[in-house]
Amino acid sequence: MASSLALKRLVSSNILPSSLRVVRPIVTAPSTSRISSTNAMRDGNDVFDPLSPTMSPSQVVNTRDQLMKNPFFSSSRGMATLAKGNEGETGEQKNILRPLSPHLPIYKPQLNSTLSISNRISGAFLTTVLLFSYLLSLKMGSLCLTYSSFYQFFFYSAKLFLVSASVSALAMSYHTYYGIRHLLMDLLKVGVPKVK
Amino acid sequence: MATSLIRRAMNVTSRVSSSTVAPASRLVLVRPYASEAEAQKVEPKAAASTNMKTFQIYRWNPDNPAKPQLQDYKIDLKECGPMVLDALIKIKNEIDPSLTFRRSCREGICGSCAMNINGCNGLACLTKIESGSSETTITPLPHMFVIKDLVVDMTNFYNQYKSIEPWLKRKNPPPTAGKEIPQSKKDRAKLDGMYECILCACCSTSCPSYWWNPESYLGPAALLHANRWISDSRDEYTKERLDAVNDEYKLYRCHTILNCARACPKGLNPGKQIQHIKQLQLTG
Repeated sequence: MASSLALKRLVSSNILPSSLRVVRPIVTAPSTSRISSTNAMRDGNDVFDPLSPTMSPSQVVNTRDQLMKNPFFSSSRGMATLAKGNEGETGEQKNILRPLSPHLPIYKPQLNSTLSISNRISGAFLTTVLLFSYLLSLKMGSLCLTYSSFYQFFFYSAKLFLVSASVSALAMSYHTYYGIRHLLMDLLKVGVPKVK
Repeated sequence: MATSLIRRAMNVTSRVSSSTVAPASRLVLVRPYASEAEAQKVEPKAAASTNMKTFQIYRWNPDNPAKPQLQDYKIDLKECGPMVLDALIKIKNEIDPSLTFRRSCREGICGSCAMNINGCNGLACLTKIESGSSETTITPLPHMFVIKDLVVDMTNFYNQYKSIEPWLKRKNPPPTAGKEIPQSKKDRAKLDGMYECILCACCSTSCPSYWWNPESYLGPAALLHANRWISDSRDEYTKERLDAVNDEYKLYRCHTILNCARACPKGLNPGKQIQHIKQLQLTG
């Protein structure tokens, strides 16, 4: 069991990025078939199959800790909340998906975090502007000749180029200043904001 | 001393005069302090008005799993202690006993009551209730799996702390066998700002980088402790500790967002410690 756990952790941590972690729906365990085996180590289509990692390391740890506490608990798919079912029926478990506590919507934006995310946004914006304008300038002629609506769009929105140019200039300058500040903070410890 | 002498004299005279004298007549005597009868009098409530405040608290029950909700509770601040933890305990005692939260020391040293209050992470026992009629929103620590109501699963956080091996490691025995390893005051001062960490997880759960990579990025708390052991002059495994952390994900997911320093209820600066580790990596 320990070796399969270790293998699973190895596999899931190195190969599987977190975005591919599959969300499991709420599963109610069937009443009799799984309880009869008191041995928590079941093979086959169970979770400890190292070839199809379904649990991330923390979930593995979560399950393992709970299994160690009570070897009669069945292992579960997804997050291992092993809430007891009805009273009096020993061993019946429900596997419930735990919710994730709210993060982005509720967290108060602060000066330091706002500056940091603006740096990232300006960087992404500059990247798209750069690539897009490059591609556009190369292909503008043939595009406009083939798609007349495109030509109409560019004709009428020509005045907006100045606006977008100044927005990109703002993004460029902000990104550069933040980059210099980052360098100074890391190398010379200049400009680190005071705590509280 | 003079007053006690006078008091004793008056007591003697009043006792001698008459035992049937009504207690109220005693109050007529000139005294610079209250008598026992006066002290027993209870003053009526200072004001009949109440100061109600609404608390919106995150609720989720694993026994009846449904969408998590924010539930409103009204508390009279005049009958409640100043801290958010006092309000939570009052709600649990008087209004809703099913409200679940962790707490222990009520003085900001155990780190159990860490939660998100009005958008900022902090300890409930150290966060004052904001005066004014605005609502206070209390949610659990951000981006953690919720076990029930305000209780979150801290397993991953503790395992990350374990993974940096937070104990003294030496290759050689101490210079004086059987005695403690000596450390100068200057070296001990290097640990200030790191040893005070109570592992409340306020900093790690305030870091957006930790939100998006909770299992690969160690988080400010674990890295602060990593720096604590790296900077300890008695520890001889400095190079190995630095190499263990020198990973694209474990250390370098930190982009100096510095939400951690703002959230720490003990006033520590994990961001600064992480920068220290990064500098040490540079200089080898």
